[in-house]
Amino acid sequence: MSVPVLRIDNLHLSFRNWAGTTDVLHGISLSIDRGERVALVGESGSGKSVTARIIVGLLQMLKSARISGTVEFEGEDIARMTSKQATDLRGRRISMIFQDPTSSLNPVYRIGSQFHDVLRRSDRKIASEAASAKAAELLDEVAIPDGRRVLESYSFQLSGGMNQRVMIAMALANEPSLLIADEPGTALDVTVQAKTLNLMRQVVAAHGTAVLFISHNLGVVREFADRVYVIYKGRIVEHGPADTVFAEPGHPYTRALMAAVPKLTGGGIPDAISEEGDFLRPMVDHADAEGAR
Amino acid sequence: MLRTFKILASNPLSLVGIALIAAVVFSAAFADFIAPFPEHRGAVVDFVNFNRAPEWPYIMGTDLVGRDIFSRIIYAYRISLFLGVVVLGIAVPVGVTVGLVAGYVGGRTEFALMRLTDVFLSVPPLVLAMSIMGVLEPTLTNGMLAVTTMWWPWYTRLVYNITRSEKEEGYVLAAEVIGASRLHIIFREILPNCFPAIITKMTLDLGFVILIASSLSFLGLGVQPPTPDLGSMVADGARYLPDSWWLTVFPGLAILAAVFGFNLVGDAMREVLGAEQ
Repeated sequence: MSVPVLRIDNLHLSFRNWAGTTDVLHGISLSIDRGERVALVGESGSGKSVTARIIVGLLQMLKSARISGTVEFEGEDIARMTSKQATDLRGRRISMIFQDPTSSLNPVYRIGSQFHDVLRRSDRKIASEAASAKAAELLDEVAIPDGRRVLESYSFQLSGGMNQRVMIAMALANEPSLLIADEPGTALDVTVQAKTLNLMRQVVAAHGTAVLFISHNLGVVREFADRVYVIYKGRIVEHGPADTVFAEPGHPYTRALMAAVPKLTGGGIPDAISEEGDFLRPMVDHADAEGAR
Repeated sequence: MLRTFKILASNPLSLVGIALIAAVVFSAAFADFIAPFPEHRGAVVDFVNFNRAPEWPYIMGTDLVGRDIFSRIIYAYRISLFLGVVVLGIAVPVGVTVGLVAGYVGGRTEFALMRLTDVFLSVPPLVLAMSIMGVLEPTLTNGMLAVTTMWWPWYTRLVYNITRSEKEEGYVLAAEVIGASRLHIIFREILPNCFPAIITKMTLDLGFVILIASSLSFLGLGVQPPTPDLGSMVADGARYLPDSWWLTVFPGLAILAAVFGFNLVGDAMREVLGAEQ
């Protein structure tokens, strides 16, 4: 098998503060192959977002963060990279989109000028005419046909769904091999979210981009991801192909998580997930059982 | 820009402010043509016409050595405005940069910069300026230096607070993720979002700088004679109140007009720029 786009092995993270250290991640391992869509699912505070931030190297800047374990991007250990290499990695080979698309765009600049900045990351001397042409082309790909008009707009003049599509176009502008989507579209309403995700799936498939999809929304994950990792309190508790995990969840926590999704058919709000001892049971790995990997 | 101007023009108070500022700036710019006695800005003595009450051609009277007060006020405006622009021209970039860096970088840098700012803020402004002027020679340059020294920390505070909140915005995170440099994030991403607040404060401050500079020269620590200055004109005339009232009242009103004008426009700017966000 070829080198995975991303391989995380036994990643530990703790924050040091005046009260001592707080452990956040207890040895996470995961890997993503080229062009694969992988979801990391868990409740708030389970360590999803910090994992993403370690991958893009944002947490390493914090003095209080203690990180151990390996994070390899296309076979290279990111901890051993020079800062120039790491900067080069970000925005060109890894890109990221966030929860709230509107706040991810600076309100004082037109979309076009921010798009230009992104394109300049891979081609320093790109002319502004060429940049707008390329940007319009990329916007067309995410179902924004009048790209030129959007490029002339400010983020607050566009709808949330439109901004999200702009963000996706920007994130894929430099042909990254990994796209990290940190709860994309959580700030959008359900129908727009569904449309954007469909679009995102088509676009990443066309570009052959691998996606690490971070979410707490099981419905979305089921539709979007090939493979799923379930994370609970800084530990991966279940892993496997999306179909298998949803069809026969093996870990008590995964089952509780699925039971906690409110049903359209009514029946009241499900009980909150209570903390039970068996949530800390060892990881259930469907991939091993099926010999998929 | 045009829209901003329209909103400003629709508010009667801000119209008054704009008119006052326009009059002050216009008279300062074309002082040589407007002032009836341009030579009276310097050391001129005319004992025939000294200490005259307002009457033609001395519409605001003459001072104790016979110089036309109206002419001197116009030339004093020129110096006050120049001083205001220079002071803000130095204090704003310095204060804003310190605030941005402290707010964005955080940690020890933030601690050092903000405590330094607090030290400057903890000294009453006029006292600081007075002590600087007391140590140095009272000249126009030193006056500007003194006022600048006390002015920049206010911009640091203002921009620091905005930076702290803007820093948490998604677009800053997004810029960090695509590997933008700190310089880029501070000056290209965060700074433009501070502009509305900075511009409002600058408009308000131009009036206050003129006021503080006048206070300094009222105390004899500012521009030295024979250069005309509103503050020292008030101080010189104060001894002859209430008989020779025109010596103090007209320069006093001149200070009022300038400060009032900038305040009205500053308030209007706050509403306009605040509404835009």
